[in-house]
Amino acid sequence: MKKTEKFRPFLMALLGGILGLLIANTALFYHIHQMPVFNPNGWMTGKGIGSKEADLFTRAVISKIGIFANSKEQAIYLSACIDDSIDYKKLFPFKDWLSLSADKHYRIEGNVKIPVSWWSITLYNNSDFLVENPEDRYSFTSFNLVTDANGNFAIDVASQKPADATNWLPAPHNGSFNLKLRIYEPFAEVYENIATYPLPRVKEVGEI
Amino acid sequence: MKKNIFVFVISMLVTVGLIIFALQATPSYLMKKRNEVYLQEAGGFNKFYHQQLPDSDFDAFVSPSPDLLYSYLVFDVSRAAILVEFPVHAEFWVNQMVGDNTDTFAYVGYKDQLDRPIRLVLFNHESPMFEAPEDAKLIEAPSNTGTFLLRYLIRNKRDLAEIDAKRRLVKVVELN
Repeated sequence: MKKTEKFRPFLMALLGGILGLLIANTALFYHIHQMPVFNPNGWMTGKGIGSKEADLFTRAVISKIGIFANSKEQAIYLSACIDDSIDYKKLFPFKDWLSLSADKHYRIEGNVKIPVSWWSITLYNNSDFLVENPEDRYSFTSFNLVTDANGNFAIDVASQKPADATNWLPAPHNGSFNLKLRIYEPFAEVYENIATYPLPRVKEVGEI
Repeated sequence: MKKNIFVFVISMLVTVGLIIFALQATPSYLMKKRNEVYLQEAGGFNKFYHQQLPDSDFDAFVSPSPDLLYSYLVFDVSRAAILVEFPVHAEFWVNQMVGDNTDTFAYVGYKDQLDRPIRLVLFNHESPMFEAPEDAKLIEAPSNTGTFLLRYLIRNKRDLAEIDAKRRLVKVVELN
């Protein structure tokens, strides 16, 4: 027996392991790209969140980022995702897609009357914790927004309160942050059409 | 040659299998770790732990809702079936019941409630014999252990003390 033949089984085991890793990674990346659902008004959610039918990968991811996620009939969780220049198909992890900049002023506009029990928009820092601010304001809900007579509202998201702001959601003074929209007990017309439903629109107003 | 191909294929399958196993085990593992914290805070199984309203000092878990008061109970129905009585509260509240693999198996909440407290009995086939009150809703747990997550909406911080006191009226009795 040649010396090289002695090591051949080890080499084959190594190659088999590498191929196994490649197959598993390819499957995982396929799932990553299949998972997001985008709403054109600047929000992203994931397929299968809180569902018993979710695949292995979705279950593992959700158990890490939101272990007690509700079913879509109970609640839908969306993250602001507004930068059109991002190639969503290439980037990972999701967190990079969802970062908003503390150097910018954003505005969320919409109507408070969404066919749901209630909804909220919450601001988190880049570690996903609430941001300290002088007004102890971490979120707005459909109950406490200032609206016009028709239910229309605007939320200004910025590190400093804009002079004309009726609803100011304080952002951190530096770094990045993210916004989460939670919709509780949505009607079927919302959760079945979440990719197209006219949710409040998130937009960039400009630099601070 | 055949032996080498066999080694190659087995090695590949074992690697894929290990990754699938890790993914499969992740939710239950994370649930167990989370429940260890709640058990410590509550002082054992079948007791509620009432968490404070999240603010900027809150770091128990990521992305907390500042509009919800959270309470947790880690159940073990193999010790005994449990009778849980939720006080009357007209505003939004929901109790989510989650098995040890993170699957939600039931909800009760304000929509189920009329003008009297909701009573439910949680059990499974390993629970010792018990007698349930007639008006209690019977719910079978898919696993011996799991978690109740009770959420109360705080519309306005002025209501916080009142709702905090109310949620603490929830009663849990082991049916032995």
